[in-house]
Order: sequence, then C-alpha cells, then structure tokens
Amino acid sequence: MTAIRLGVLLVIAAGFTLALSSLHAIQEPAFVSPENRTSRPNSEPVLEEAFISGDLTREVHSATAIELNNGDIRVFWYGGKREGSKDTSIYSRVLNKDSNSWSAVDEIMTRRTVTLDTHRYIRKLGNPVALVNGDKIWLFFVSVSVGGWAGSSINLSVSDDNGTTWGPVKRLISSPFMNISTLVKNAPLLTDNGDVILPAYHEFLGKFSELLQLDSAGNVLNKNRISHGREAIQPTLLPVDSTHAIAFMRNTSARQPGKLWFSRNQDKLDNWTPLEALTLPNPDAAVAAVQLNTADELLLVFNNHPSERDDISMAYRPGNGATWQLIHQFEKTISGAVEEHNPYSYPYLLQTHDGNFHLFYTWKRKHIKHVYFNRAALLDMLSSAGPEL
Amino acid sequence: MISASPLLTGLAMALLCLAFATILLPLNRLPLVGRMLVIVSITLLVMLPVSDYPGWYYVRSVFGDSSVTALVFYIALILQQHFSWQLYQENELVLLRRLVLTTALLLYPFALGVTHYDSYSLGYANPWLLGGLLMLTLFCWLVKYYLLAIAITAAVTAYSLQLLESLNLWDYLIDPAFLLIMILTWLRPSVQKIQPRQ
Repeated sequence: MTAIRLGVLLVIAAGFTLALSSLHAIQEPAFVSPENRTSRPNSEPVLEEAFISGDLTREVHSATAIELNNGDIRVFWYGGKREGSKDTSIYSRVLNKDSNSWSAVDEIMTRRTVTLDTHRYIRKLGNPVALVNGDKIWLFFVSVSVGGWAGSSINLSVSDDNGTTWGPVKRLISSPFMNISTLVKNAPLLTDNGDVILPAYHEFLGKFSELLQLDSAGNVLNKNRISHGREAIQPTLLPVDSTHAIAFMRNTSARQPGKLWFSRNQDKLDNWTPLEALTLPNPDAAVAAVQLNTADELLLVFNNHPSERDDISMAYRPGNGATWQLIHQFEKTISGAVEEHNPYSYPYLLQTHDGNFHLFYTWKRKHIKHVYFNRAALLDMLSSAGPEL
Repeated sequence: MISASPLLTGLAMALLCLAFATILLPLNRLPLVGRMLVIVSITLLVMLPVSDYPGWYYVRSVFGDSSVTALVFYIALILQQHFSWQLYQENELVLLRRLVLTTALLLYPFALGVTHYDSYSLGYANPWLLGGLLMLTLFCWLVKYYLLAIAITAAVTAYSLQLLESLNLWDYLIDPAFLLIMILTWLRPSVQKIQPRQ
C-alpha cells in the first residue's frame, strides 16, 4: 500500500469518525401549552382604532406584534415607496401599557444593515415576525437579493433590551437551492426544550407550508412539511397540546380556490393531515388566529370573501368541530365603491396576558391600522354574533 | 469557521468565480504568466469593493454558499488546468459529474415542493446518509479516486465542525453553482484533459 493510499484512508477514517461522533439525534419538539388568560368580563366594553405606522414611508405592509415582558406592545412592519422597492426597511414602535401612548416610529432594520451583517447584497426587505424568547426578542424577517418574493430568504436578529437595539443579522439556511424561496408571515412557537418552531412557506416553483425547527442559537435543526404543490402558504400555527398543533393556511390553489385551508398533525410534526377546505372563505389572503379559554376555542381574523380582500372580519369557533360564526366586521368597503384592489390585508391578532386583544392589519397599503378590543367588547360581539359560516 | 470569517467566505466566492473562468474562458491559450494575471485579477475583483460592498457579496447573494465538495473540486480544477497538477483523471470527473447530477435530481425538485416528501430534510443529523457517504467514499478509495474521496471527507468533516451557516449535510455536499459547473465541464470536454505544462 503506497503512502498516499494509506494517507487518504487515514483521512477518511478520521473525518467520518469525527462526523459520526458529533451526530446528535433531533428531539421531537413538545409545544409549550397555551396559557390561560386573565378574563375581566366585568369591565366596560372598549374598542379603539388608530393608524399607527406614521408617515415615514409611502407604503406599509405586514404588521406583527408581541407583548413584551413588561406588558408593553411592540409592533413591527415593513415600509418603503412601495412593496418591494429598494428603500424598504423594518419599522417598529411601542405601545406603553400604562400611559396607553405610542413611542416614535423607529427604523430598526435597513437593507444596508442586513447586507453588511449577512455578507450578501440585499435588494429589499419584507415580512417580519417576532417572538419573546425568555428575556430576548427574536425578530425574523424576509429579505430578497435577486428577483421577487420567490427569491426570499429568512433572517434573524435578536434584541436583549426589548427591541431598542438589535444584534447582528443571521441568515437562516432553509433550502438547498441557493437558499431562496422561504418566507415567514405568522408567529413562531416555543417548545419545552428551548427550540423554536417557525411557520414558513415557499413561493418559487411550489407554494407550500412548512415548519422550521430552530435551536436556541437560531440554527435550523430540522424542517417538516405541512403541504406541497402550489396550494397553501402562510401557515398560522396554534398548539393544541404538547405534541399536536393545528394550522390555517392561505389558499393559493388554482384548482380549488376560495376556501381557507386547514390541517392538523397526527402524531409527529412531520405527519400532517391532507389539506381540508373549511367553510370560511379565503381570497388568497393571510389570516390570523388566537386561542381563547381552551385550545379549541378560537378567534380568527380573515377576509370574508372568496376572491376580494375588501373587508376585515372576525369569526369565532367555540370548540373543535363546531361551526364558525361571524362575530364582527372591522372594515367593509361599500359595494361598487372600491377605490383600490384588495385594500385590507395581512391581519395579525395578539392576545395579551390580561386577556385583551390587539389587531393589526394593512389598510390600503398606506397605514397599519391598530384595533384594540377588550374581553367585554368580545363578549358583546359574541352576544350579537352574525350568521354561521 | 467559514461562515463567520468574511475573508474565507470571500475566498470561497473567488474560487467559484475562478472555476467559472477556467471553464468558460480560453485561458489555456495564455502562457502561465498570463493565466496568473487573470487569476489574480479575478480574485481582486471579487475581493475588493464594487460600489458599496465587496464583489463577493454580489456573487454570494446570487449563488449562495459553495459546498465544501465543490470548493475542493474548484481547487483541483484550477491547479490541474493552470498548473498541470494531475489531481484527477477523466473517469473520476465523469463519476463526480454523474453523482452531482443524480443528487441534484433527487434533491432540488423535492426540496422545491414537487411532492410532500422533502429529501432535503434527510440532511439533518442523519446517520444513514453519513453511512451511505462512507460507503461511497470507501468505494472511491478502492478504485483510487482520491480527489473524490477527499472531497466527500472534507465535506463530512466541515459538517461535523459546522463550518458553514447550514446544519444540513446536503449543503456541504452540493450546491446549484456546483451543478452548473459540472454541466459546463460536460459541455466543454477540454476541461477534462490535463493541460500541458507551459
């Protein structure tokens, strides 16, 4: 045996021994159970609305929000001259719980920052979603280097001062094909071992939903597919118990459009039921949902039309298998007076620890609209519920 | 750590550009000094700022990170083509190309959502994939395809040390630019032949 031959064999042995010894099995994640919220049914019904995105940019879109550990609400969105323009940035501001006043709008993430941190040229920024993870805030957001949203990748930045400053931007690697075509829209979930389950979706050759499992450092450990083909994106993920979750998804199907998609996992996170079309309409639009007193009692904010986003409505489902009821309409364009296409979109519904609600959505692309309503207002809506859906 | 070192990442992007230049440009018509000048020029162009950012930022934003297998091959390609080092034979390149094409066919369509099955997820902490690669590497060693054996071993080692941003083994083995380079070596068979020493 020549020296080269022996040397190569030794290199192979060393390399594979190292690799096999460093392998760690991926733990099946267990969701942190949804908390019971404090209910204050005796307070007066309150429903307040305001435009909160300021006038720094001509267009805004895709708001998301978190409740900080001190009870304040931090909201994020992206804005620029228009969707996808080169001046898009991520903006944020805070609603002070005690004074009920908003801080100034901050530009917290620019494409230059992301370019310098990720060592990649970034052309535009897009959808943010955030997570309170212990005493830190994790902010995920989309960026594009080449092409449209199909060329998206996901980035992560962490703040340890409630969002005043942000750490270096980290690129998530979630696809083998130039790492493109993965986006986020809806809230991640925490698991009991500190992993994070991030609902994501693809928009390139396929339009489908999947879950990324991240470790506590934000590395992608695993991924599980909810759907495939060109049917369903923007999963809204809700935990039912420690091992089961349900997902509502935007319908992008050409063969079966117009209804909201639903799926649930059967045992592990890699085993989801086939897409089920609900009775709720869906005009190829994002939805938002939260759980109320039980994991199966749901509020869902959506566009109540199979083809147009000309309203923002809320439906209620008292339990698993029960029918949905329309309980409120936040926006409604008068028929025949539509000034622009799809004026209301991308709702994000947040339930705070005091049991009240903050809804954010894109208003004619010009504003992010904030609607606050408390439990008493919800009870009012439920008592005067509209038709079954 | 390649992902944490801008210099190493930039050099990896420079290697990718040099591999493209080696295959697409008739550099073997130039004397050795001319080739050296081209290699240095391309490297500087990639490493130095273009407009606001280094040139490799733009390359990386288009192609993503190069796999470790690809980087080993690019080094061998450049040394063999421009400096007449005999690092691989035509048969070895043919096998490498078939492996890359087959892997790409089994990986990319499924990862992009053609079916519910996602072969990319096999790359996360999967002992079976590592075992299969060990068998392939030993086969390459047996038939004396040492470059291929070293390239796969380097990828597996880099994976265990998490030298790229990804924790998925596929990202250490294959990337779309590598696939494109392999297709180009097929279209330009002169690349398979060792260039005469100048």
